[in-house]
Amino acid sequence: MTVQEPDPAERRPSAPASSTARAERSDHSHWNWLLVIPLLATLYPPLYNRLEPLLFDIPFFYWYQLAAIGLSVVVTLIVYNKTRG
Amino acid sequence: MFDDVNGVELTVFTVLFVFVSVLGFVAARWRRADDLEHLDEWGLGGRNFGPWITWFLIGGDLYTAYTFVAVPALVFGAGAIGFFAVPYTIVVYPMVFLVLIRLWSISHVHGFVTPADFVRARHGSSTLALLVALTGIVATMPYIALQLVGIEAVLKAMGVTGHLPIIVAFAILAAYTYNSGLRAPALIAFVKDTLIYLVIIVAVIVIPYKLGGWDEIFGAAEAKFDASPNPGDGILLPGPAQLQYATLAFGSALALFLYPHSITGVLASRDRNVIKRNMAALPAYSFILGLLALLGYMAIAAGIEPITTDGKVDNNTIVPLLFDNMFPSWFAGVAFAAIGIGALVPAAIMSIAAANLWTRNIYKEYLNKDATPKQEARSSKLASLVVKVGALVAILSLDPQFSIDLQLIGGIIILQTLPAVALGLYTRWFHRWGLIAGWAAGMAVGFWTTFQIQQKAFLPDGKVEIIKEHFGGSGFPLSELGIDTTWSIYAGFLALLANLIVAVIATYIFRAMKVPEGEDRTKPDEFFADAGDPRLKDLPEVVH
Repeated sequence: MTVQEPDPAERRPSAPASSTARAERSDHSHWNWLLVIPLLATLYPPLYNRLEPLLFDIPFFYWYQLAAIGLSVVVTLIVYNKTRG
Repeated sequence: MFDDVNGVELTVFTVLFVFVSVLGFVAARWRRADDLEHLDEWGLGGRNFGPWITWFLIGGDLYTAYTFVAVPALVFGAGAIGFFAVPYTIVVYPMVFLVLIRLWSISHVHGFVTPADFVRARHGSSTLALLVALTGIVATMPYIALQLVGIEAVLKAMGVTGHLPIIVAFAILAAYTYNSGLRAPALIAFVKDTLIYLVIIVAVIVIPYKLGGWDEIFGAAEAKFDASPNPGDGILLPGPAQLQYATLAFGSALALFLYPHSITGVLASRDRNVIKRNMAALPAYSFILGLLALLGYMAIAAGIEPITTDGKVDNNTIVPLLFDNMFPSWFAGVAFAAIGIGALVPAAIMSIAAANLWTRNIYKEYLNKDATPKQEARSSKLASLVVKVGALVAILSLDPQFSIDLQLIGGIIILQTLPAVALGLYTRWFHRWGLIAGWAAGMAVGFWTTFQIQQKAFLPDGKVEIIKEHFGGSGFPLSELGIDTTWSIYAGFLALLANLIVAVIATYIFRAMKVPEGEDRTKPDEFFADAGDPRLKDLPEVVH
């Protein structure tokens, strides 16, 4: 984790060059699109609203959604690692 | 007050409770600041919490005692629909991942403490900021009151009755929050969350074993819902409930990080990476919540009958009763302490967040424009006391149902700050008066729809009895809008839709009328600032 120490003078409004120099910073990344996966996986109930297959006698509806938590963690971790500052 | 009290349970509970109270006071010295008399210190713990503290703090903040009691109670009563808490807390973190780091950056640069601070600077409107602050306070107050309901459920299960124990618990809570600020719940959260994880993991191993396995548990639940005449329950979602399930999860997720207490937790963290890492780590709590929800079915299989007080069945007592039934007394005491302490952490953070809104957006904006940091801190400390007394009075003097109704509406009204706060982080396209008009429309629709929602009881003879005429839930039947369907939708969703539509139309109108736009004090690159970047307050010449 490296944080760039900018010259404080650069950020004063009196220095008009600052905004163009610093505007290059951005949160844009193609990796961010992965974050959509957990939403797609859980916000459409017909996808998982059934009993079978059971896992340890637990209906699909329940273990699928619990498993989706794991999916969400994996996806978020990937995005974090690929975009960390 | 102490008839039929289980002495062992009460002793374990009291010992743990006293332990965290001491921690709460000691917290003032933890990661000690030069001077607690500053809102950044008292209200945000020094804005310097690393990933672990933040994980415990936000987890302890969002997953409240009331959640732990109410979610299984809902599953116990209605089945699958109560499991919405799981998709809700799955989707929330990916959704806010990018939004929160922008909010953190802009708040870091400008020294914002509340979401209304941001709205004030971004949209140049003190009216809009005031509305956002008031919405936050109104949405938070009943939430604090509900934490008391969580403690009360536990006390009831231990056989302790009367109001005195709750008053004592809240007085202690108020005292150490006043003394230590956000450091108190941050430190106590370690104990709370450790106890919760311990109890739930033991519960999902021991209880299914005692009840004869998951097969028995789901079988008992299925039998109960098959016998029930209510078409809305079941261990799977009935067709028409699916839209409500999805919109409830999605709408609640949109609302969660608009709550002032969630934002307080986020702003207290050290840098952007702490927030990003936590978005990946916080779902651990969602997993616990999912297991906890299943306790509702275990209670069915164990034949738990909820306690009835004054002729009213209190489903919120089923989890404590289940623990009481299944665990030896000493461990039941630990479990009750987990829930009781689980109420203290969010109650403290919520009161701090509400107090900060009061100080920054009402006191400083309207009453004492030149307030010093010290005066701000003092104002917040006093306000945190007032907020807690208010919550206590509300629970003791009004029907607790009133707080539950208000909390239900709380989620819907806080959602109405989404355009100004969350969309405001991305765009200045909306006109400030357009946002105000949208807010008003959203509030009106939110109140009207929840007012219309009835709570029905389905009697065995096929008749339907209306138990509550108004505020009977958050699922709004679409047939009320003249649509020929049995489907329902989350009321907050409709309200937000109305809000957005009005905000867009009103923005065009106000712009055509050439109504002044208001000054935007933020600059695009400030939304990406990270720790180490200078803050505006460090540059004296630009402080307004």
